[in-house]
Amino acid sequence: MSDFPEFTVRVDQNPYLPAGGREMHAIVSVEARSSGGPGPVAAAAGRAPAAEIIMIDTSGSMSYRGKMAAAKRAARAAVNVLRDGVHFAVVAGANRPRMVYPQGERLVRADAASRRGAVDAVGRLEAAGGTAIGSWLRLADRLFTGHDAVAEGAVKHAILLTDGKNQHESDEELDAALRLCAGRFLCDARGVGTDWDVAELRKITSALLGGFLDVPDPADLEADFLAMTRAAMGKQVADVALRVWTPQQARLRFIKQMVPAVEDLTGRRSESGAQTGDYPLGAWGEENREYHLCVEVQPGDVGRQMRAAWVKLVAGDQVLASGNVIAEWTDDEARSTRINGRVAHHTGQSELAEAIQQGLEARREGDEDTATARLGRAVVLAREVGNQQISGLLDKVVDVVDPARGTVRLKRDVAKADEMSLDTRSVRTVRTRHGDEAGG
Amino acid sequence: MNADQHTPVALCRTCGEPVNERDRFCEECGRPDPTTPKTPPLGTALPHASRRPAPGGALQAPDPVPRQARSPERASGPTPPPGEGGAAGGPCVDCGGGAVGADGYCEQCGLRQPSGREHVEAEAGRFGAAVSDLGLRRSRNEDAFALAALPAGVCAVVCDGVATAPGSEEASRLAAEAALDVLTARVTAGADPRGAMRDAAARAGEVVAGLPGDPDSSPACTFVSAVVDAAGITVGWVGDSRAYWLSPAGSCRLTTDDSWASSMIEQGAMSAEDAWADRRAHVLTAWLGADAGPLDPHVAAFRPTGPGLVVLCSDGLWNDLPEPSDLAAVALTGREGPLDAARRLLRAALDAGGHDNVTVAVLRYPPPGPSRERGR
Repeated sequence: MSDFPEFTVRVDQNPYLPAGGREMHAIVSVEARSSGGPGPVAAAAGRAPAAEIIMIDTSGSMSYRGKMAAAKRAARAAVNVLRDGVHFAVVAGANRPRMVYPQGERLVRADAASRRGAVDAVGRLEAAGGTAIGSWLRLADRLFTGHDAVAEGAVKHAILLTDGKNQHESDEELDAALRLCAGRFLCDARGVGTDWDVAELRKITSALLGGFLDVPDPADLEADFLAMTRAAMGKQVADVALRVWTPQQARLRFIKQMVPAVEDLTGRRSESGAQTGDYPLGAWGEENREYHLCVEVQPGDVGRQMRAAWVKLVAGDQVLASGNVIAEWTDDEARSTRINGRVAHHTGQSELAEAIQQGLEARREGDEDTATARLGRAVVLAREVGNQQISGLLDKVVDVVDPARGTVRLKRDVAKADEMSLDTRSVRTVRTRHGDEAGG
Repeated sequence: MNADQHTPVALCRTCGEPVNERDRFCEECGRPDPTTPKTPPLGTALPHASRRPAPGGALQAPDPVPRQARSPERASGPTPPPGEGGAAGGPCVDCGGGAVGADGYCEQCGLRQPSGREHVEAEAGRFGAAVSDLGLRRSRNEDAFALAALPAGVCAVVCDGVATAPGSEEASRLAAEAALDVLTARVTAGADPRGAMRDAAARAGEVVAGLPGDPDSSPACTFVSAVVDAAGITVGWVGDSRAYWLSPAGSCRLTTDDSWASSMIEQGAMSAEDAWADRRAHVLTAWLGADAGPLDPHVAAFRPTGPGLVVLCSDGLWNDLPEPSDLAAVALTGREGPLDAARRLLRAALDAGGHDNVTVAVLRYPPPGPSRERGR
């Protein structure tokens, strides 16, 4: 296991609490770097065995607007960047999933011949039928399970493309499939066109520790698939968890991933020892992620110091890095009232995602007052956290009258794609410069 | 507030697990600074030093075996009473149930245990005494002192750890200890106190510079020391810890700070009032530490004409009582013993807010003669 990336943990917080203060916030930044130094050779040496499944929606609606042709190009591109030795399969999804390549229910080892075979098979895909995503995921799970004996500890990654809602099975069936698959493999998803459901895709990728994006223009699919596959190929360790120790009498109020996207991990805790719980973080390559942790502690006397949380990054029983969240009670108001800049930034990003999702929901339900208020708030927050992409997307949904006070008017005619784009990207955050303390 | 993970370079001194060069805590057992040699939690102060001044009160011929002169004093160094100070592995003094990890935090309730340095007092016979206190606003005491009787007098060292640099708590303690070792050995062997003072500061500087630390913030501390004997007073310093002379006939400061404010005033660039009001006022221009550059300690010698007290202190005292006359009013009024004077000065700093750690050493001049040195 010496070829794990080198992990570092950094904790940003204001450790000072006022007398009687209970709530401690901290930003935990995790960075993974290839231990072998830069360069493709070192990176390849550090790679974990990997398995990749590409799931293409082939429901009837895919035949419109060139979606099928774009999906084929994207799938071919993904197959072509699979590195030798990776086990893979291509699956077509409709009312029932169907193996595209190989023909039997199994994964095949990537090499020049199998990549060519998969590319040919993808070219023969035709669109027909409905959408039952739960059944596609179950097939993927069976394929990965069959592969487990071959490569223990492999990074198991799936790519899911859909253009529609999950109409040909019940919500319960999808939920049951997600419960089955959660923790078994990772899944990134793309929604193409405007007939898919943002909340549904969010639920799927959230359960399967992946990300999702909207691709309004099918022509952009290929680049997206390439990026997702390359990222999956770069993973070096399959199952990493954040192990959090908290004092007895303390309560972990929440732990959220904040970078690259907002994802609440609080409910994913599994107890892992006395006063410790593990939160699965999925596979890691060379990358940075940030987490916002909030713990409620029993107040200590002024002048006392407490370890409010001890976070460790673990792979199996191996501790990769760790950091301390400290609380210290003071009667110096200047200290206890200072807000750590990075905590403030991420608090703003969380609230921004919430305001957008609530505003859009209210708008769909015809509650214009709530929609105006929440989206107005989002305009203010997007400016505060410097999220220009979100600001730009908000401009397509509301007319901003006063950006500083958040006075907005809902636009009458909003393109469906713009609304979906705003909803999808509401959770994607921007990074701040390390050490930025300019909060207040 | 981060614990970095790098290539393992050493084994933890507590549990033997591999640790990385820049680890501030051992991953396995949680010990802070796992590659730093483990040292007893106390040992800076040398109370009730066993050595008596040589008969006659004057400097005698050098001790033929200086090493022996040091060993009984070292042996008398204080250790925390059992059960106090929340030693690693012992039960937590707060929740009673949890074990305390090597880094001082309870494994159950998370509270950091007292280190034993919250309040420390020591006496060197009737020659001098020192007090160090956490103060009212800080969570740890990064000040340290060391104190010892000499054959014909007393010597003391006060160091103030730089709070912004991790590891400075250790730095101040080790610096004070190392400097005292040099001073007692050299002066007992008959060396000129001024030379001994330079050697002591240099040794303390080496010790601090050798501590493991972040290249951006090495452990660091200030330094002030004094040797008081019948021949007079010798002080040495680096940084902004100070020495004062307090006497009924008149009091004065014996040191000039190595600080931004001092240098502005000295250069005539700013008025004292403006310089001290600037937020850079306390920025040090010299200190002990790996990032300190070549060490050039100040050394000065005085021979007062009448009796009085030499006070060494950290800025936790002089910030609130900067004027020699203010210190004299507190130190010289009341019971005469140096420990009482040191405690009164500490009380005054705490009454003024206790914003920082407070450390005061009080040394009597001239050293009391042997005829009055009975019954200790």
